[in-house]
Amino acid sequence: MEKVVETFGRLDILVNNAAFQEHVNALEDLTEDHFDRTIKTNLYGYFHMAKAAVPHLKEGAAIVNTGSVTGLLGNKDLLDYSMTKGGIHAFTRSLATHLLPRGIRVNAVAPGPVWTPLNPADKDVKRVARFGSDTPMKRPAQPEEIAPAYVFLASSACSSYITGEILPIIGGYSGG
Amino acid sequence: MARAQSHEDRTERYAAGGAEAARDERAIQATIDKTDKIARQDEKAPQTGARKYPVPPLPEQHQAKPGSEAKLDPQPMFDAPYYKGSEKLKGKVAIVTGGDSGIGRSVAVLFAREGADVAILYLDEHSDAKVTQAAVEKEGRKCITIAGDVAEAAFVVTPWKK
Repeated sequence: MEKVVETFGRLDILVNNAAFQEHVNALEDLTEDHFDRTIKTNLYGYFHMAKAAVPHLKEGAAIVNTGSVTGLLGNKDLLDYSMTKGGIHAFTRSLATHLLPRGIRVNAVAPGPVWTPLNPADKDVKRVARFGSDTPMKRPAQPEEIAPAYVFLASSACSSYITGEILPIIGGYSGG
Repeated sequence: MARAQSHEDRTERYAAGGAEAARDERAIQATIDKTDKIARQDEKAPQTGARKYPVPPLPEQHQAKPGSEAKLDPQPMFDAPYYKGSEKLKGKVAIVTGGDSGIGRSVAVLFAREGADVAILYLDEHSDAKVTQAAVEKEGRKCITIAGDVAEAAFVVTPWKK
């Protein structure tokens, strides 16, 4: 954090996005180490970054967190991951109101399936092959279909009255 | 007596009405049944984007963590060639964790296109981070990359010395 501020002389936007995701086939397979790792990266990581960034953020600054559709709807194989994502959504909402007196906005994007290294580094080969096909869009999003939402939520030209929101980008809704 | 008869009449009329409604429902169903086969054939993924995006089945593949974007097939589409910047983040400085790849990489590139300098924090995917850095610089903005674990408080908060 200090290195960033020293290099650029300021900080306006924090995007918390780094995540650990590893599925389990049975609850009994979810070890303490695995559970710890997920929570450390996905919750402690966001907390550490927010805590370190906020002293440098001025009025008009923005934090954008990466949540997940799994934090909204749950996911049977991602027990720990979906729990952290639900936590990120709640943290986003709480932190937004907490930081509003300082003029800092906090929002989250909650992506559905996106074609990135995260999932092929988690799921088995068959599931990777059909990744995203259960959405109404019948395909995963590409990163460039998600990133404009971060611009929108980071820019005070676009979203100055928006804070504490969770924006799902999940390829449509299906009631089952 | 007349009252009782009227009650029976009504009962019969309601029953007849029920039977008629059921016939109507089956008629509606029969019409829709004929269209189901046609609808099932029309289940390809809609292309809603400014360019065409890949549709499953995608190539079968699995990666060791934390995952490498360079090894993904097909390559994730992150540079949004149809997205034109309009200085929405002019002069701003952003940090993107997990900015070496995936959503983070695309966010870094579009932030740069909107006028921001970007610091990328990543775990240890050094070659992916270099690609993101080059992509940000191609947008005419500065980019620094820092490797470390955001889960480690000391990495995030420790004052940095040259």
